[in-house]
Order: sequence, then C-alpha cells, then structure tokens
Amino acid sequence: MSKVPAGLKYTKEHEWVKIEGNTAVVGITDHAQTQLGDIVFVELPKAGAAVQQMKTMGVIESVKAASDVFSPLSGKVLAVNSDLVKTPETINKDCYGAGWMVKIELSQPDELKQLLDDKAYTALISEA
Amino acid sequence: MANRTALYQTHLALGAKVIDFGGWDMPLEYPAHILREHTATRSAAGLFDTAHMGQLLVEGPGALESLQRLVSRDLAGMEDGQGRYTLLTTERGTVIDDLVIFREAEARYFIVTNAGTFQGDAAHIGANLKNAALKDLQTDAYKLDLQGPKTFEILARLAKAEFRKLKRFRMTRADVAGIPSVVSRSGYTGEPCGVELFFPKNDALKMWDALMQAGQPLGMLPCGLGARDTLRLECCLPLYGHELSADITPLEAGLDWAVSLDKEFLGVAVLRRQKEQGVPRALAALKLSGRQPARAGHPVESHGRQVGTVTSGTYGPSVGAAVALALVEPCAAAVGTALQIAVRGTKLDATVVARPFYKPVKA
Repeated sequence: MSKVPAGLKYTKEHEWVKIEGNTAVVGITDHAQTQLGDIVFVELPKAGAAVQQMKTMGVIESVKAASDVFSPLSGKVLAVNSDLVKTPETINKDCYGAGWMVKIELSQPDELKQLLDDKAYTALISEA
Repeated sequence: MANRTALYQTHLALGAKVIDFGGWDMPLEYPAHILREHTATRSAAGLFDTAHMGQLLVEGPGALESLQRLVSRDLAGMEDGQGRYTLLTTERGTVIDDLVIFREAEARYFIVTNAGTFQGDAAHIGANLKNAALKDLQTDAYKLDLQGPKTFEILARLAKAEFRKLKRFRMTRADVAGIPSVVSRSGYTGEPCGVELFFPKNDALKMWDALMQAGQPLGMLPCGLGARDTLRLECCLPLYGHELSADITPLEAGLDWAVSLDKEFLGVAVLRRQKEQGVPRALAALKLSGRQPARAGHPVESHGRQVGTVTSGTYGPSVGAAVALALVEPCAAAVGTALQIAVRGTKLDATVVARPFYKPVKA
C-alpha cells in the first residue's frame, strides 16, 4: 500500500505539498514513484521561474517513458533540489524527504483550498 | 480482450505491472523494477516469460527449399539442432519479421517468431510452401528465457544434462525439472550464457516454480519486458517495429551478415541494388552525453539539419548513460560523428559509437 503521510496536501496528478508559511515544498507521491518505476532523469524549472497551478513545470523520465510534473500552486520557484541531477533515483527511495523537487513562494494562497488532504488522496488512489 | 500467457495470474501474484505488447498482456516489470531486473540478469540471472512469441514447424521434403525462397539467410548446411537468425522479407526487400530458424531434421524446421507478427508470418510462410506443411505449435507449446552468468548453475539443479557445452544457436532435448524440453542456447539479452526453454504449455507453472526455486537463491529475478528492452538495446539487438519493419531493409539495419545476396529469395533484387549503390540510410548506435533518454521518433540532427530519426532509446544501466539506435544518412553514421537529438525543445548531445554499447562478460 502506498504511503500517504498526514499533514501534507496532494493533487490529482500525484504531487505532494508541504506548506511552510507562504512557501510550499513539492514532490511526487509514493504512488507516483511506484507507478513510474526507476527514475533516470528529472527536468525541473530554474530558481526564479514563475509557475502556475496545474501547468507543467517539469518532466520525470523513467526507464520506459517521460511524465509531466504539474505545479500544484502558482508562484515563484525559490529553490530546486540539485541533488536530483546526479541521483534522480532519490525520488524512488525517499519521495517525501530527500526526493523533494522544488520550493515555491506562493502568489495565490487561496489555491491551497483546491488541494486534497491525505484522506481524499488515499481514496483517489484506492479507486485506481 | 488481449491474449494472456498461461502464467498471467502468476505474474499478477508476484506484483507485476502489466502492459499490452503485440496484443498480449505481459509483465513490464515486477516490484524490483526494471533497473534491478536488468542488473540481476547481467550479474546473476533473469527469468523471462516469453510464451507470447510464435512457434512454428515447417515439415516436408520441400521445407528447406521453400524457406530458402522466403528468408534472407542461407539455411543450407545446418546440422540437426542448429539454428540461424534470419529475416523474413517482402518483395521490396524490407522485413516482415526477424526469426530464428532451427533445423530439427532434414525435412523439419522449427521457427521462433515475434509475438505481434506471428499470425502474419504463419500466413505468409504457409501460402508459399511447396511440398511442405506448416504447423502452429503455439496452442500446446510454451517458452521461458533464462539468461545470465548463473544460467547453467541454475539448470544443473534441475537437469542431469550438461548444457554449458551447448554452442550458441544449438538446441538439444533434455528433461528439465522432470519436464521433457528443448533447450537452445539463444536469447535476446546479449548474454553469452542463456537459454530458451521450449516445453508443453501444461507444464508452464511447474517449470516456472522450479526455476524460481532453483534460481532465486542464486540471485535470479523474474524480469519483464522493460528489462528485456534495456538488455537488448545495450547490445544493439534490433526490435521489430523499431529497427526493422516493412519499411526498413536488413542492410539499412546493419544486418548484412544475415543476408545472402547470392541466394534467390523474395526481395533480393532490391537488396543487391542497395549493396551496389549504397544504402540510403544506416543504423547508428548513439551514446548520449547525459542520462536523459531519447525515444523512438525523436529527430536526429547534425549542424541544425535533421539527418535521421531515433528508432529506440532508453537509459542503459550497464553502460551508465542514455543510449539510442537511430536510422540516419550514411555519412552521419560513421563512428565518432557528433550529433544532436531534439527532445522537447532541447538538443541532447550524442556520439556515434561502435556497436554494441555493452559487451557482456563471458562467465
């Protein structure tokens, strides 16, 4: 069964969000990394880039295919996990911790309301 | 509904992720995932369900002569139990399928085909036989591939026969796990130690369980089509539908060694012309500078101009880089040529290298 930590928010596209004041830390969920299989490359936005809710902000390449990563919220990229350049497999090993992808400064905090809590996300992936 | 092999439920029980391949529901990977399955095959062993592939028998006094007219390779002079890799061709010299044909006896030839092309192959071969008959073996026959350095050690636990001395592309009959089988030293991973096991479909679960029990303690993993693809691509083995197709000739795909131009077979005139005038495009092995993979269909460029297209691409774990095969203009196919692959707006640097990307270590 996939891990879905409480205290995080989630999107239908399988990203997780950790809110720290007006900053959001973003990654992909355990369900997503299991579905993708071995991740071999990650393409992320640069620090300073603008991101928009539910628009693609990057790509994850697994052995078999490329998958879009969507920004769960609108804002500006504050930081990018550069470790993922050398070791993208960190996302498979520790998707909620060392496998974080970007930190975003929120421009529209109201958007948080549209995210799913852990129970709703668990229900979503159980239906799949 | 898609076809399923007799071990479909077994794969599900092992946690396999299933995909469609050539109209068959097959395991893409098991919970170990592709990279670990791949490295297990190179360092210990991998067990692959390949029963979706086609198996045919052509029998009769006219068997050899009929097959000679349909395939690119000279099949004459094979010993009983010997096999050869060859292409089944169209009148345009392009490829209907790539096959391995084994001579079982003077008037009996056993043919292994790809899964999605099997029906077409059988129809084409069947329609062109003289003094010979075609038999579809797939209803009763099964196939499993066991590949990797520990192959013979694993088989030694299940069979009295010694397979280590079996030469490449030779087959022999023996009991494995008490099941009467045909064992051929062949496969699709590039590994020098590896076999294809042919046996009755009713014994599929018994054979699978026996191999898992014997092999897992030695590091063997069950492997899906994902690892099958990364393994073959690292060794530059062609995949029908990618490096070979009804639009690609064996010479364009670099398979000159599987073409006997002095034999009369369907499409040979086109291939003789290609040999004389030069092929219009050639298969090149591209090693990318990074880990980001290129995929089939991505354009290949030289100095900003498209010179070809990627036919297959992935990350090669034994190579440690992204690797791709591409059909390009012949001058761009020279080893050492620097090329770019256009992927989603970026240009990835790649170099043409000698084939194969990876040479498995002989155990």
